[in-house]
Amino acid sequence: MPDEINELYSRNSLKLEYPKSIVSGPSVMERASEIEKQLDSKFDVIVSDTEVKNSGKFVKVFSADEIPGSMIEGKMTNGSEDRISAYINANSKHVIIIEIPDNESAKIGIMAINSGHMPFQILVRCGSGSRLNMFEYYCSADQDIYSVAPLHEFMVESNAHAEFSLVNNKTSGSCMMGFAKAEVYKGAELKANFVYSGSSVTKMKNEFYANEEGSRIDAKEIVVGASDQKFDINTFMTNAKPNTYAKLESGAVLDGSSMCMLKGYAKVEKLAKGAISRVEEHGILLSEAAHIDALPDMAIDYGDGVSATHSAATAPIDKDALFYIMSRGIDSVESRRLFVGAFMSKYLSGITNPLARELSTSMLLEKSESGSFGKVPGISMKNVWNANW
Amino acid sequence: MKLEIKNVCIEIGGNKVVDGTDLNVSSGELHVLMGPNGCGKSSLAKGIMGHPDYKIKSGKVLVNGKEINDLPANERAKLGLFLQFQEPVEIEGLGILNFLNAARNSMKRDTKSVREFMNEVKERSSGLKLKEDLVGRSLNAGFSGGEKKKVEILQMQILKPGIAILDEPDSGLDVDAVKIVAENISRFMKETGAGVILITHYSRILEYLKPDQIHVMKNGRIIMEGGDELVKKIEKEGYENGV
Repeated sequence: MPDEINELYSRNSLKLEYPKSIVSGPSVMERASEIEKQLDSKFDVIVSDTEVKNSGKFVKVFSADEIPGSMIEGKMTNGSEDRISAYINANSKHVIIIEIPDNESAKIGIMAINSGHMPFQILVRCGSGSRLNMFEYYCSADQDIYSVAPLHEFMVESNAHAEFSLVNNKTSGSCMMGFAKAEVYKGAELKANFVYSGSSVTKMKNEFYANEEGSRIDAKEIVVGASDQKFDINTFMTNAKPNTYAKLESGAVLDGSSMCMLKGYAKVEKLAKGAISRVEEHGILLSEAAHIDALPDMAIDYGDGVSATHSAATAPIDKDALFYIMSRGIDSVESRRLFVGAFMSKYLSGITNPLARELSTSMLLEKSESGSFGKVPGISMKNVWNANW
Repeated sequence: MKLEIKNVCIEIGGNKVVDGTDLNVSSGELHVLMGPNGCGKSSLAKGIMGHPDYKIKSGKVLVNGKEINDLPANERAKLGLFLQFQEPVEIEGLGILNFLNAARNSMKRDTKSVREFMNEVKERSSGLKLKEDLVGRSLNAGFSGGEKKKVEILQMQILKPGIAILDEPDSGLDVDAVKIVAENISRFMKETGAGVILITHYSRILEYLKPDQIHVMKNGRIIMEGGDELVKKIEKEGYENGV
């Protein structure tokens, strides 16, 4: 784990106070239905601190004390060495298990909404040759002062293709802390997209393992911060076998006095001949008080045919680019919107789920303009208009 | 449309880069601005367009008699000014079509439908011999020098300014591309009646265009004006000896 092995990451780390008691609030299913109407979309699973509504194919919901361990074939470690995952393991009420059979396809939408603390687990197994497109939307029923703590474990079996998008749009006052672990096997591919906008405090630890030859991991993270939001995003990638590919692209756009730590760590293990490993972290500061610590790091245990690079760049908004846009008759507010939107688009481009992409685009642009977040955004095609002949 | 530059001094970071320049341009006129490197041509162009770092410390810039010294760049563009950048910025993620559509919507200079707009972009791109997929890409990201210059000319054609300042549209272009760019500038002027200030170091582009006046700048000032003969003189003798 990076926190144990990397002193720099340990020093630059948000210390969280874990809830002493897991209080549950009133049912929020009515509010969830309203949000579905506002978004004109139905989610397959609605998970709250009190109950889970499930209509998803290949989805099963268990209470934490009845997890059938055999479902995940003993391959997962459940990340018990990590403090966040240990907290979630100890306090989860619900465990959602998604198993896509070999060569099947599925699209699954999950809304997570709570009125009390909500540690929960989602375990996903994509069978050989299967395809999964999974979207999770985190939102608040009302003004939220609780924590949501998802633990994800993914197993992407040989030649499967999984796309996972997590979008956090919870109101200020709330906290998101999460742990995600993914193991990708021979010839399989995982595309993971994380959109961090909501909550006052976000602390995430993600671990991705390209575990067998030819496996690919393509992870994108975008953080948009305002007011005094704090983000600690720690992502750990491993090329464990030959000819694996692991790429992490992290971006942050910060306004107000918000701060963000991007800690992308890549490891190329022994005998990972021909592995490709990339960590790229970029940030834009929209105000003088905003602060980004971009801390990419790597450990390369093998050199034969390995290509590994990391980079980081953070800067205020480019004055020359703004002048260029304004010189075409576009006012300063719209110019900034176009520039910031262009920066974000790189990180949203990997999301193929239309609802996830449009919701993220609208949500992030609105936030970068007004600083507000946590509301259900109006979805408009104008933000993602892209003509094609 | 008339652009008047009256005794303008421009500073950047406290250094004077344009030192009392006068220049008048009206619709339909082609003025060529030449001069050695660092003489203030591009600084004048950016100052006229309103770059926040290029401060007009004295003198006036007028558009149709209205002083624009304190207007932001977008307001200057709406009055009909256009700057073709010598080194256009690259903005990854901002599609050219999205950008152009946002610009024309802000300018409100035409009432074309999206389809008509798209058709015009397609036609103009073809006239500039741009690759068909280029306008579907991010603004200037990964473009060659020539492609960037052509996309600048494309923007001018779509946005139809009253007076365009073209800052070295020919630098870095091969001989065929210079001809294509020149023909498109000429066509644009004929179609719209716009005036142009063309900044260049080379006479080749002027083989395809008919300037009304040549201005030579040195040390931040226009020190000589004339016709075609001035270009020939500079070409033969250089700025040191010829001017």
